[in-house]
Amino acid sequence: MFKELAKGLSITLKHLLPGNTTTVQYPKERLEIAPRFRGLHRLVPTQDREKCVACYLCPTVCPAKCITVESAENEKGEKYPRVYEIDLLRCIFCGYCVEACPVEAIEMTSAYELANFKREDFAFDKERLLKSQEGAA
Amino acid sequence: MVNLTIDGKQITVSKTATIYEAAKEAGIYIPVLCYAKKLLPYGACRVCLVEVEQMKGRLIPSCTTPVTEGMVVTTMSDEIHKVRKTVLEFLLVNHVVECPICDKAGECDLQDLTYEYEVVTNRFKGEKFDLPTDEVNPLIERNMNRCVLCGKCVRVCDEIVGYGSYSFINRGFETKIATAFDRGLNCEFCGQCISMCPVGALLPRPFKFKARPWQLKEVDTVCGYCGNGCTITLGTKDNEVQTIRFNDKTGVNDGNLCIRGRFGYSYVNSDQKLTKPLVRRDGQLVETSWEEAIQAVADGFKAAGDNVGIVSGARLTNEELFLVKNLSKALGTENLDHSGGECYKGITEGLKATLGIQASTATFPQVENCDAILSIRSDFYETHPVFGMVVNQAIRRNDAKLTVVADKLGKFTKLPNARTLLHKPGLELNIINGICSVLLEEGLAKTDGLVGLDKLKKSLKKYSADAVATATGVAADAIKQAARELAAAENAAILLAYGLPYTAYSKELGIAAANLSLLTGIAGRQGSGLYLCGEKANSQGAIDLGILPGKKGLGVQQMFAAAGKGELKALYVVGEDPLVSYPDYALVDQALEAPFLVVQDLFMTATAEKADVVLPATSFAEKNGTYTNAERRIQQVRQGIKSKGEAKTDFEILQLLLQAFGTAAPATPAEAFAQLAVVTPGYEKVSLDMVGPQGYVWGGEILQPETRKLVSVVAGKALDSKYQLLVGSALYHSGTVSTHAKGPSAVVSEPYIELGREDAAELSLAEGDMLKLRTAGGDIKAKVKVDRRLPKGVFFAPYHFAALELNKIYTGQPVIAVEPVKL
Amino acid sequence: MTPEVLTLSNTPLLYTAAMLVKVVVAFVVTLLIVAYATWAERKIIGRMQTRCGPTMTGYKGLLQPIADGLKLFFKEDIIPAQAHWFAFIIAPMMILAPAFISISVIPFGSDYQFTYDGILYSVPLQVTDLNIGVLFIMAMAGLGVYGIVLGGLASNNKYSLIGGIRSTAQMVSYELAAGLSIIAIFMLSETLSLRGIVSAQQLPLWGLEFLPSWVHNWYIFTQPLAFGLFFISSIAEINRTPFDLPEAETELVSGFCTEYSSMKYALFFMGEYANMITISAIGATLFLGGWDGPFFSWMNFLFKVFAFMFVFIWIRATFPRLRYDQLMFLGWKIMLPLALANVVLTGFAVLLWQ
Repeated sequence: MFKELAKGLSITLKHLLPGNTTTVQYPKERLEIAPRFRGLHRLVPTQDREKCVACYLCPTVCPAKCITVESAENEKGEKYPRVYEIDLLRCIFCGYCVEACPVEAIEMTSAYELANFKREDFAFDKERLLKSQEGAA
Repeated sequence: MVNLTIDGKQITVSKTATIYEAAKEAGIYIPVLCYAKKLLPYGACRVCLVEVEQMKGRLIPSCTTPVTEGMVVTTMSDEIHKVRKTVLEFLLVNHVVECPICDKAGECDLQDLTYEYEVVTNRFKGEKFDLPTDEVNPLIERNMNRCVLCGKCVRVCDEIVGYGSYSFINRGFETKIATAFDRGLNCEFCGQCISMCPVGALLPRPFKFKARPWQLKEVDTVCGYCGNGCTITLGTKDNEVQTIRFNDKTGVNDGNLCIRGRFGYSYVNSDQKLTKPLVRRDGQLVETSWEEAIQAVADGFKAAGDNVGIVSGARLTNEELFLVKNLSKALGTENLDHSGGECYKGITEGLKATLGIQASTATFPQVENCDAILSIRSDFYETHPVFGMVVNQAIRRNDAKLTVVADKLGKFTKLPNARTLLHKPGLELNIINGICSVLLEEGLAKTDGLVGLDKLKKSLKKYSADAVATATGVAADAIKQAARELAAAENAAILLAYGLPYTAYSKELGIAAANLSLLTGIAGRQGSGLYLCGEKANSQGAIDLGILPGKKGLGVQQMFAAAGKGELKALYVVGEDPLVSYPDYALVDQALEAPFLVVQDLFMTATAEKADVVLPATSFAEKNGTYTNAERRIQQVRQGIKSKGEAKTDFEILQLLLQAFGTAAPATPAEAFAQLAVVTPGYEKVSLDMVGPQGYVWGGEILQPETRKLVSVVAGKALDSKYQLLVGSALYHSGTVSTHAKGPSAVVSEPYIELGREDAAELSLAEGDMLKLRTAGGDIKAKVKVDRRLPKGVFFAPYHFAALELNKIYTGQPVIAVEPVKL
Repeated sequence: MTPEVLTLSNTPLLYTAAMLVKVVVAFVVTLLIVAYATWAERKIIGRMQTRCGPTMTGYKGLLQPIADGLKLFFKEDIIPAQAHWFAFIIAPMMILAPAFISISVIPFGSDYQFTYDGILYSVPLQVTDLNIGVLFIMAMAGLGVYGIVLGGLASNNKYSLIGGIRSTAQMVSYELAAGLSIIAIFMLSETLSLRGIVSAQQLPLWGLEFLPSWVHNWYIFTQPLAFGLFFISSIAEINRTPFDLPEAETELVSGFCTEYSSMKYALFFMGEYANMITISAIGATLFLGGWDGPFFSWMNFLFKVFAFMFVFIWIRATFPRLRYDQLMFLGWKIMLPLALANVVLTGFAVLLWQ
């Protein structure tokens, strides 16, 4: 028993020595993001509009039911999402929406700093999603 | 019966069945694209290919091949799979794959098959279709790039609707579905083609990009427009009716609908619907609470004592009508009526006097097997389009002989082999009397057990075929021919629609039609029927429930007259807009001025503007209950969406009113039905459980006449005027409610006066010109619509539109003498 | 020249002043150590668990204790409606006061000598030297349990009550072992005065004169078993891991202090650390020769106290909590017999030696 106790103590003592910390000092240091990291969504734009054609596959496949799409017809008679909103408070970042999209209109950026002060700020509408950048909210 | 083996399963089917039908009956799945239950076999898509032991060497299309004795069928093998997959690959060579923006995606047969057969690559390369889409018409989105040339739309438009807007044009790879001369679609807009299309080539435009099929909640209910009682399946989402879904499994209509049923739903979602009760204070209608509104109504009615009149609409459910009846009892009044009074007298008085019943004698599906059909008035198709489609099928499938007693041409007169007895306006009675007299003269009549034969014979002396021919302008031979056909037919039908614009001779026409049905033996005979069809969804229910003036009570017209004189102190108008739709504007207007007026409606109607209290009610899509259609079929109305704002169903409002008068009201529509079944003749044995998917026809498929009395009727005389105006219903509308619906309004949005080409040329009028009609009673003016429907000197105006103020000159007369003035 | 001992009778003013200074210094230093013990604990445990501990408040998080104190000070003070308010308020004080009072009998340095008015005075670096110092400490340690029991009882919360009851049982069990292990010490030193015990430890080790003069007779060498028993039971007595059953966040949601908030909670917290310091000081005094050592006397003393505290923290970072029955088993069936045996052995040894 004493051997085990001593072993435990030696392990903790060893960790006390400098250089054993695994903490990343987050705001100052950052981990490298994996290429397939699933962060904030981004709607892919084309020249004059979003690539999304409001096919409703993403709200259908979304297990958290956090995507709201309302389709409409634009002046050219094309189908476009008049409303495209993701409620990040409900989103579980599973990436099914990206997988389901038939036109590759939605992708996930590496942006993960998504904290905010107001509830409304978590509702990402079309304009915000079109502007979302790699690595920044 | 034929015995065959499909996939090792022994099956016995009728000898007329195809392999596909046999397999389906046995629960064996064979994929199809071009097959539809109600259409004739066509064999266009080659997806249903199967192997038949006896026909080795090639694959057999199962949907066109009849079964034979001892047939051995295999529905799936490697080869079949390969061939079907190849067929799909061929289809996908040209078919644009734009499922993300195609509204059919999710219920697309081609998509499902592509998924099922895993057509992920295509061995064939070709150019995708790049055809222009039809952006012109307001209701049917035609995108021929998605077409798979199954021909279902062509066939349904021809076989079922009888309109024939589509056909295949061009050859080979260029083949496509198009209208005549490849112009924009301009048809009845019944949307049958949409319901048939297996892909996204034909789609309802009002539903364009609205929602995905899987997002919609489906609720089977009954259309709230005409007395046909079609089952419509509401596709609801976000508490709105988004579209009407295809459903050929339930209801009497077999999935067929007209423009009103398929596209006329949007008034249900209208934001112009009333949402709060209104009470008049200092001359203004102001919003108030339900408590105050009900109190105001109760106070007003109490002040009026038993001098209260109740005018009900015929779009209330049976349960609501039962409460209306209860309310009249609670108020101690017998002044109770519906639908303008006069127009339904053909049933309540005409049929009562002759057959002793107050309903049609048979059901709609029987008409498909009729050999001879007589339609009194050509407008029958306009008022009851889906029943009209049954008539079309009788002609096409059964070579039925259709005779149309018509004052103008119409859809019916254009049907193949239709005999049109085009008479001078207002002389329908003469023709029917003429037919009766021919039957008697030629000894074709079945006179056994008929009462009053001699008297009738005597009165019909004046109406010999030749006399009638002279009076009406119809060839005597044609009348004789029609009479002979009716008499000779094993199964025959007589159709007559009634409604607000057909008030004239209502009772007499009912009697005349009954006389004819007795003389031909149609009344009560298996397979035959006399159909007197109500205009509104529950006209028959209103008659069954007795929403009629009591013995000492006043009908609508008398009520209005009494109210105008100040004798009636209060009026309760439920679901009607008499100021627009009832004949004789002056009478209605004066009647509504004086008394305490309560209006219960969906919209702020002209009548509601004059009310002291307005109670916001809800549409058919927001309530539960039952409708009884024109063939006595009781069907369930189901709630699809919740009512908006504070609007309540008529049932709830009537409950509150009954409670305000200290009378117990049934708690639910189901309870009300149980109560009304007890007291309503014909409904005694009916319970809601019996009202299944196909409804329940009270009195049975054939309702036997209680009496067989012949009553002679005197016909009118032709109007001596160069120009005459007919009033009636337009196909695209029903009552006044449909003018609030976007679909029908997109096709016909404003009132019009219709006239024939000859008149147009004579008066130098072109489509869209303004025309004023001067009459003794006043003037009306509207845009001109020119076509070939109307004989020379006859104008037609639909009664649906408030803007036309038609009832200022229409007071119930059969035809109005007018003087056209070009503006 | 023999320095004159400062007494109340001959130099009342000077004595009072010196006394005040001693009290204030002892109190303030203890408080400071309390504050930074929290910082040190978080830092050390953090490191031991490969984390960082506080880093953001001030340089290396050095202002963290102050931030925590300020935060707790400004938090809403909640007294549950069903609580016994008097006991509820008095409980945290009752845990903190005995811990501080115990400090008063600890000698934290050798005598301090200074000249005033031409006379050489000597001041013992000890607030007061009671001749029954050890008993006093035992008494105060016994008082400490009241705070916890009262806090648990007054909260009117089942978790707090269970925490309080556990604490009573634990304190009673381990105080016996602790007390018995100390008996062996003053059997050797023949005094209960802590000052006396410290001076007794400055003799040559085991009375062996031939050893180098810096080898002193610290009782840890004479009484290793007593030291072990004392060490373990003192951990139990100050409710630290692995004997932190009264708190036991995971089972009792903080046990006796569930309902406490704001400054009252801070008092409990301070009490815990003050107790830790007191126990460390006692341990240093009884077994490690008090202020005896190579450096300045008070530095020696502080060094030993910190060493004790480090070991406490180290143990907390390493061992999981005992189960209740294991705790009782250890206390009554192992520690107590061993302590008794140690007393008997020591008795024999003392007899033999004489």
